[in-house]
Amino acid sequence: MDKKLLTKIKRNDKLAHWGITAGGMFTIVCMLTILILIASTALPLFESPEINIVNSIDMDRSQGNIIASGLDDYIETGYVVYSSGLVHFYHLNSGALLKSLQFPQVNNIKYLQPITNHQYSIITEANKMGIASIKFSTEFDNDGKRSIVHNVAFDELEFDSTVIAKEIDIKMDEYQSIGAALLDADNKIHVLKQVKTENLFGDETVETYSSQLSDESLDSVITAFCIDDTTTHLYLGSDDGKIIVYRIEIEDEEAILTLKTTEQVNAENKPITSLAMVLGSVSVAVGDATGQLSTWFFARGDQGEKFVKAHILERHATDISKIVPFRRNKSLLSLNKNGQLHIDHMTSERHLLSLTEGAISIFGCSNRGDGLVTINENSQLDVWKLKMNHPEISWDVLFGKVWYEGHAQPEYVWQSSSGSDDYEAKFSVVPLILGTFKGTFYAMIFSVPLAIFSAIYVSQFAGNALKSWIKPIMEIMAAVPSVVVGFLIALWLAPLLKEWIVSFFVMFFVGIIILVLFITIWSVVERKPVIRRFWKGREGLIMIPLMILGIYLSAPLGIWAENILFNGDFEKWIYETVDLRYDQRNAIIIAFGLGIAVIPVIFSIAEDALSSVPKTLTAASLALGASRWQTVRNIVLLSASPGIFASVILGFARAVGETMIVLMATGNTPLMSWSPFNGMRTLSANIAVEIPEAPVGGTLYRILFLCAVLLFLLTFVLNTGAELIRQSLRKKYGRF
Amino acid sequence: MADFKALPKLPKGEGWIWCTCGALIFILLLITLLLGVVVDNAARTFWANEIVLYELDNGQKAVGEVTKDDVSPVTKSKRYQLKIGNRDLYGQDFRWFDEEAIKTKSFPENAVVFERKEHGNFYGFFKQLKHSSQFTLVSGSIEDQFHTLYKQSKKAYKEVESLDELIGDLSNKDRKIVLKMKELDYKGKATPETIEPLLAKQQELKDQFNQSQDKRIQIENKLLENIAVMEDANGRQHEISLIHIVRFYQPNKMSVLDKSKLYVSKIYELLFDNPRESNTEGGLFPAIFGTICVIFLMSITSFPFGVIAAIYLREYAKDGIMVRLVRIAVNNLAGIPSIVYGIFGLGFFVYGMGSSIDGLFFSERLPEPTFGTGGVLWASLTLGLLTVPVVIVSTEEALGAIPQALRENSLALGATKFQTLIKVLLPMASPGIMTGFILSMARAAGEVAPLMITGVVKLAPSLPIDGEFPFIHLDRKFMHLGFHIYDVGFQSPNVEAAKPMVYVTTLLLLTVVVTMCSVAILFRNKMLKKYKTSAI
Repeated sequence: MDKKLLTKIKRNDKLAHWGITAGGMFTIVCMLTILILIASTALPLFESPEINIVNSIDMDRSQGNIIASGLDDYIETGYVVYSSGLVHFYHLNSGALLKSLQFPQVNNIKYLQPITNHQYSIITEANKMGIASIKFSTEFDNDGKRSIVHNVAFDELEFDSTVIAKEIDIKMDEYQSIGAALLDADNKIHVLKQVKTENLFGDETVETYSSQLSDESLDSVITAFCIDDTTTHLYLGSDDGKIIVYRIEIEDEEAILTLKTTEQVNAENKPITSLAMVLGSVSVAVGDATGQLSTWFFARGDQGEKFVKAHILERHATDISKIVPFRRNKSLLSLNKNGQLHIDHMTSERHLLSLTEGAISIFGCSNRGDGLVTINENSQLDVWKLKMNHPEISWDVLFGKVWYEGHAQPEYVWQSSSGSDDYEAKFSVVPLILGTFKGTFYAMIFSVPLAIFSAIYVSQFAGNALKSWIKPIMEIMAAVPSVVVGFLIALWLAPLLKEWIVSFFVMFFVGIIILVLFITIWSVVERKPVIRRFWKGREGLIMIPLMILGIYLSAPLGIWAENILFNGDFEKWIYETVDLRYDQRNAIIIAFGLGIAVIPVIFSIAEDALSSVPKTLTAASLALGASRWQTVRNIVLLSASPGIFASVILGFARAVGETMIVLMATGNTPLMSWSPFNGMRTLSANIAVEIPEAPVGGTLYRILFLCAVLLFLLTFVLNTGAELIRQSLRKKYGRF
Repeated sequence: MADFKALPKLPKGEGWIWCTCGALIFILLLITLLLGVVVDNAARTFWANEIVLYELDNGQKAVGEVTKDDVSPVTKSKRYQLKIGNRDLYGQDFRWFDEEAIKTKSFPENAVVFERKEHGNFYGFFKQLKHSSQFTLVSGSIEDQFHTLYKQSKKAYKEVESLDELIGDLSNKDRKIVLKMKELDYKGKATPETIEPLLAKQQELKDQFNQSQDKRIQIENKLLENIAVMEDANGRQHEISLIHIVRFYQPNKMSVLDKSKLYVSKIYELLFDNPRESNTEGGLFPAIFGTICVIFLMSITSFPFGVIAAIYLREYAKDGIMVRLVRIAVNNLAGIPSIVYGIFGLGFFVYGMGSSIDGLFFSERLPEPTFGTGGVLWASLTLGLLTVPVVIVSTEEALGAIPQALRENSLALGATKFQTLIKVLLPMASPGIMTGFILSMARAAGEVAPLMITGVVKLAPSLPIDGEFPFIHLDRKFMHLGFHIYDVGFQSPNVEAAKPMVYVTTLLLLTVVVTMCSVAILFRNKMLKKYKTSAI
């Protein structure tokens, strides 16, 4: 033979060998890395927060005491406020002093309390009160270079000048109405509300209402106080560990304070040292002298509102001197007397970070929540970069009960987003997992008996002609797009079922009665061998009219039953008696929809398993005198049981992952209910519903990837289990 | 009865056999029922129904097609649902009429249906025609006059359509110039010498654009003067411009043959025309085209990889625990929910690869994404990943079914492994592989969930393949039959009016999928027969 040709063939063979090996391995590795890639997107959810020091700058001590500090969103420039009312701006990287500004009309600040990150309510030595604010405005020049312009401002709050204020808390709502609570030299609390209204012509009018707490209504000394952003509640902390809540209402040109509730914070009756509103102004954070940091809110229960201690955060070593909320999420910065700083997230109760070195006295953080400045006892300013991407997520939030703001008790809730920033996102995946299993459970109840019974009939009793038809039909049924099934059951079946729900239940009874009746009659008729021989394998010819008859009978029977049993309206009846709302798109509908998707899967595999039981076994059983059914029940089903089990698992896995049917026909409400008359939201539908609105890299985005990981693992484990069972079966019988 | 008693007793458990049969029949009935619902609703959609005129007790009248009848839950009497159309007049498409409230029913010969470009159908009667100076009316009945006028205006409207095309073309060209300038600017090559000619060209395009636009408006305004003054059932007059009418017919006058012709023309529109009225009317052409595109692109990515992986697993890899594990894993991947593949496609293809491609090649267009957003390429690749396991499994099965003796014979005759593969194994396995291909294509045709998050849209402005350079636009978003069902059936503002369209789309999609599957099954059965004979 031609040598050249031979070498060429050999070379080709080698090339093909390597090519196919490389290509094959590449494909397989690609497929297997899918899980890793999905998981790697979800994993940052559980990253622990990081804090890194950027720079340390020594402050000028000659200007007096530093009473506040803060920094801009780019962690580029920062400021310190001296008690003289002087503000120094620093370049944080170089430590250079950029600018020095004085708050107008402010000489010496007696008291300062943060409102938001760069706004403070202050009292001056001259008894002036008001809001001192530091403004960072970002400007871009022609080349697109960024520069930050600094400014300071002071807005005075007019109040009765005879009152000598000691401490003050000022809040603003989104309409620029101002509310303030102040403690005077006699330890009396005053409340002030300024409502700004604008008439049609754009003229502003300011109306001021004020009120004073009478002495007799308070029997303890006030140690801390705060008001909420909308000036509707006044929270007071007492020296014996009580939190007292007043409701502020404006009636007839006057602010009226009414006592709402009093709750004991700690058992030791230790004083409350600090109070602050958490972002969103629903919860109040309470720090006391035992070092306990807790958050409280009004829970709406059946018996009206109740003021509850919902979250207890990481305990401090000693008195908590200051609590400052984050402006980005529901995290809290808290400082204790020893100068240790904690960062905790309220909802997840996660202790994010502690800064324990260097006795911090003053701190401030950026609006984005990623920069922090602290000033320690040596007047040294430290600049920190924070990395806390998903503080609201913890294992407990995802899989446990969480007490959300305003809810009556801790619950599993999924409610991912809303319009506003201060919304408490609810990320419990438990309702989704429950929804997934609920849908699957009802689908399995519906489809497993049907599919396995059909498989038994087709494999054991049906004639060959029928067999050769049924199998392709089932295969085609398996290929029917789920969007088609979803559309049909949601828009055609669901309204129909709503109308005929009782008839639907009656149908089962009618079916059983008809079947039993028929079988009793038939057992007599069938004794004639001729008849029996003819109908063997042709049972369907009788069953079709019988079934149709059953369905026709149950329609009027259902109406009759509804009239008698449920006063003519089933939906009203279940609502009144068992307090269940009937949803049009409910679990029964899903049972049908998923059933249609799952039946062919279960049927095909179960049928394979059943027909691969060796004929010798059945023949032996029949020869020993067992009837057809006895053989099937005792021999065939038993031998094929691993295969049937595998088929059920595979069907289950298919139902778990089905997306379009549940997306279209469940209503997608994440409920925690097993009721067959309600909808649900499954993991898969959740992904499809939420992903278009999830910003890339955000918490929701990563949680959805986590949902995908859960789905992947669930189906992978189920499928592998089924596959292993099938392989063992294959070994046992050595065929199929 | 007596002689029955003498017969031998029945074997035990015969009743259970009837139960098993009952289960099968139940499933079959369910499938038949659902299929029947789809076929029935879809087939009726295009048939021109008779138009009924109800005269009510209160003196009011209504015309329309009867769409449903049932028993009213309030009055417990029979009632009819009428599609009354005329959305612009009444604000709703459907209305219920109680049997008791209807005084007379009639089927007026002269009732007309207009299918319009907007506001759905119009039902009513001719009253008068107004025409512009460019056309003349023939003498005869008002219907004949309308016929000729309508034909003329339709012919004249063709010019507007061609102008529309030109305008679209011009704005495309303009967009390209803008992109070109952006690119130059981005690369720092934006000097007066490079920019000037582009600006000049842009100005030229703008002039042309304005000219065509003016001309178009002029022609259209002229045509808008051709108006059919119509009357609804209660004699309320309504003017409809002829160019807003897509189709008109008088069903009460039509013979079965005419109705069949109309039926065929509507099916033609369905298959080859663009959708109207936020997808609830008109054709499905972009959706059909998009579906085919995705399936095609998916096939050319997934088939070679799937087949090579299967050949590797079956013929080249050393059989052992590793291969067994990989086989189980691959089998399982076929059962992973499609939404998981979808989210993977979004995270890895769209946001991962897409963003890097944008950063490397299309950085001048940023922040507007080119590949960094869903598109036909990413959707196809996602579907490709989804179907690779199916292809691997079926190819492996086909290769595994070939008797070992054939391989040994070929090798013994001196063929190399590769030659054996190419000359013996692949031809023998080809029917099995083909089956796998077709099955995976059928699966891809029906998948919607992964597409929804990787680039399918409700209305795509242009097709993924068109006459514009470079002809194949892999970054474009596309329409899809399956998504069309979901979108029109669940997201459209008027679900009741959209239902017929959804049924039609459903039937179309079902036909495609079922045909593909049937072909695959036939293929496989043929192959099975072949092996049965060769094994002897």
